[in-house]
Amino acid sequence: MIFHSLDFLIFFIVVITVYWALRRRGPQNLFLLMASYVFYAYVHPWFSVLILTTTLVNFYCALGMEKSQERKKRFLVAAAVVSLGVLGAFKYFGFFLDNVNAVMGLVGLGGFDNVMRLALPVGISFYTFQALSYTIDVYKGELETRRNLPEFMLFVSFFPQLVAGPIERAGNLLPQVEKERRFDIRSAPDAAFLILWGFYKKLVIADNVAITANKIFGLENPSFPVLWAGVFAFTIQIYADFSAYTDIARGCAKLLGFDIVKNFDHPYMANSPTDFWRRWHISLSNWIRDYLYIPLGGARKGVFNPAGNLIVTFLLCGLWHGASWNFVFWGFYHGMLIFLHRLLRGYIPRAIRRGRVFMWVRVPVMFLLTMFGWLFFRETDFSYIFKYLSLSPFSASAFQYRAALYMFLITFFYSIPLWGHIVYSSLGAGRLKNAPRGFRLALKTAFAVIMAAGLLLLSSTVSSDFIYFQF
Amino acid sequence: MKSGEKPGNSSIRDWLLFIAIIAIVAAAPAVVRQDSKSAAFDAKPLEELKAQAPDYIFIGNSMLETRIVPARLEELLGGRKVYMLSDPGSMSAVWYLMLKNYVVESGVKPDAVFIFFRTTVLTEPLRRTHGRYRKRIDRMSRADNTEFWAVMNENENFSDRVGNVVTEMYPVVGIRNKIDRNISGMAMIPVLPGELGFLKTRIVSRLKRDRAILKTINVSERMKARDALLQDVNDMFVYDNLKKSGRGDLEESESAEAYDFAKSVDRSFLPLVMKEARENGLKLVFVRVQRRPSADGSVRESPELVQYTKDLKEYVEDGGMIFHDFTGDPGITLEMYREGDHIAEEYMGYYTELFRDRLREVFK
Repeated sequence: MIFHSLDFLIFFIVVITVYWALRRRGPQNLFLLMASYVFYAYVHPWFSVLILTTTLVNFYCALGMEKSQERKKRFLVAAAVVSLGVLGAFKYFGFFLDNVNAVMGLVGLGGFDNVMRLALPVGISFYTFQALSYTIDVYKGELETRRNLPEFMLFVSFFPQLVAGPIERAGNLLPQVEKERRFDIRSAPDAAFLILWGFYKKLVIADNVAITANKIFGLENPSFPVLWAGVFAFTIQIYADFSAYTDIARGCAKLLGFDIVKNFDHPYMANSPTDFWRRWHISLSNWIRDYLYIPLGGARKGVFNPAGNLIVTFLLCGLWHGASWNFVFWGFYHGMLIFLHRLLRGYIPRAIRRGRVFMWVRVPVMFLLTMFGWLFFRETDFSYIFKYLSLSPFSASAFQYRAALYMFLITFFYSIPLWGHIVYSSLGAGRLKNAPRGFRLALKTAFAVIMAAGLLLLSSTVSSDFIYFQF
Repeated sequence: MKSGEKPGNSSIRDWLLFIAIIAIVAAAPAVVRQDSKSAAFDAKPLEELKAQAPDYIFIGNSMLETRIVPARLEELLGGRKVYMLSDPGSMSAVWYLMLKNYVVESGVKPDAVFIFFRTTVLTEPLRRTHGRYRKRIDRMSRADNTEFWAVMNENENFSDRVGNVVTEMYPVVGIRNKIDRNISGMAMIPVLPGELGFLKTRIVSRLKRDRAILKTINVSERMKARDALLQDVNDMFVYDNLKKSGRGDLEESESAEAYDFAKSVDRSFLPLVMKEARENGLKLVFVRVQRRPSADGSVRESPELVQYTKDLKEYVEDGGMIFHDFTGDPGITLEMYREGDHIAEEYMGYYTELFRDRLREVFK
């Protein structure tokens, strides 16, 4: 079920009405659990067997850890093998097979052609990591083992964030599941604004600029300026699309009395590669930091040396996004950016590094570096990537530059609210925090009216699934 | 909550505030109403038909506009008059309304009425009838078009009806095309010379409410320059410039259900179109255009589409009307196509001649 559909609107109205009418936590949780499975199974009912399997394995392995301390590690390994095995089978088996066939082809052997390939269940990467985080935290002694299976199932399958995150930590979401919740009307306006802003980002910004991005990436031989107009369009599209999902998810969760983590913090205002990953897909970057990078050794010599730990972490981060070498390379690219940044920053005096002027240079430079990286993310075919990288800015005609500028400006106009939001958050939000609540609400209402009008006037005629559904 | 305030009062106040916010956000965009002129029935084509009393009338969308040159056809027909009732992006719902509310209503008796169509659109009644297309329906329909609304109601699902309510509540949706043009126009400012001056003049004209100011610039030249740039940009994305993986989308785009002629015909506008023609003594000629050929020049159609077309032809001919299919015509080649199924401008004259030649019997 997708957020921007009439089905979801009806579903959510029913859920929220029945949920709050139930009043007590127990029935509320059971109802939410049922609703979450209905939400997930709406298109492909059989996929709910997979999420149930992952949920049960992690739940019972954690219990096993508690009962048998000496076998803790075995239970952790079992949970990881089964959870990641399911993920691997559905998401990476085809990729693995394609590579085996390629290698066999190179040595003159026939490949495996008639092997069944499995459809990718929506959200599998997200809920697998979410469930595993619980088991790992129990293993580390950072979390108590849970005995209430329905509540644990709800933690894994909570529908607002099930399909495209944020990846919640058990330490944040489980306590909210386990405590009584009361409807707070005072938080309803903020929730509604979040949802409206999310829909605006998706239906107006992301879906409109996607038309430009898809057209340009559909060209066999784009010129240099046209290609980069397309990359700019994709840069806006992916952020608007993904952050939209998070905002709608957070708004819906808020209306149900839950507070789920922020997943974005104006990533295009990042001033360094490390800063970017503190702002982009925050729940994933925290997950890979805590459960992959630090266990590998982090910034100290561990499994590999510090650079190796970093690169391996980001290679796997890239692979998490998709079963294709371009995603792996994209991860490698960001790992290298962080590595080089750490290497080179020591050569710049601290006073300059932290200076305001330097900051005004760092932010646009980081934006351009991020934009460059999105080329590898968007284009799955390496032959085209090599072609794009070999394009010369001097071989494009004046018309190509004019056409590219035109398409760049179309994208820019649609993205103005995004930049406005950045400016507001950076400069205005702090000052408004102390303003009277009535004034803040009036201001937000005025913006909401503009967004509602914008949705009616500017929603794309071609809408698509959220990009991160494919992960 | 302020000290001394009762909890109940703040809760009621917060509820009222929330409801007020929702009401304001929901109601504000509805304040923008269309002026009555733009929502009223567009009688201009009706008046033109009465005045011109053409010998041949053509109904269709861009498939028609990018194929027939009226002036050239009139020349080939020895001066006989041709009238084009074309509306880019329109589909069978609009074509039925054109036939009923313009052609039949005008009382003219042309020698033939040609309807240009593509694939299965004649039996897809809801294609392009919602959202921003609704305004077009509203301007071409009348309240007493009971048969038309019966077909619409029969085919619309819950989602469509909700969409209609939204369009009704928020007529501002209808100006989407204008907004698109304005955004496009703004993006052209740094790209096309003279655009900034044009924009300034238009703003001044609006502020002073004086259209005479616009006469200081050649508006039609500006519009031509914009159209030329847009055309050049669109031409970058013609079929031959696309990756092979992206080309397949052009070949088959209709849903599988649409190919079952027997299931779809009775719920469509086609029977009504045929009935209007029979009752008013009009000779209808259904002209099926050929879709863009594949890269090797061949025209591939699925067995379902071939069967559908056969059934459609039989239905039309059994109803006493004429059916002509240009699919597979040796006179039409891949090089004639611009983007999608549109014929390039430089080949339209040739296409008009070919059309005249292939339907010679109709023009006798």
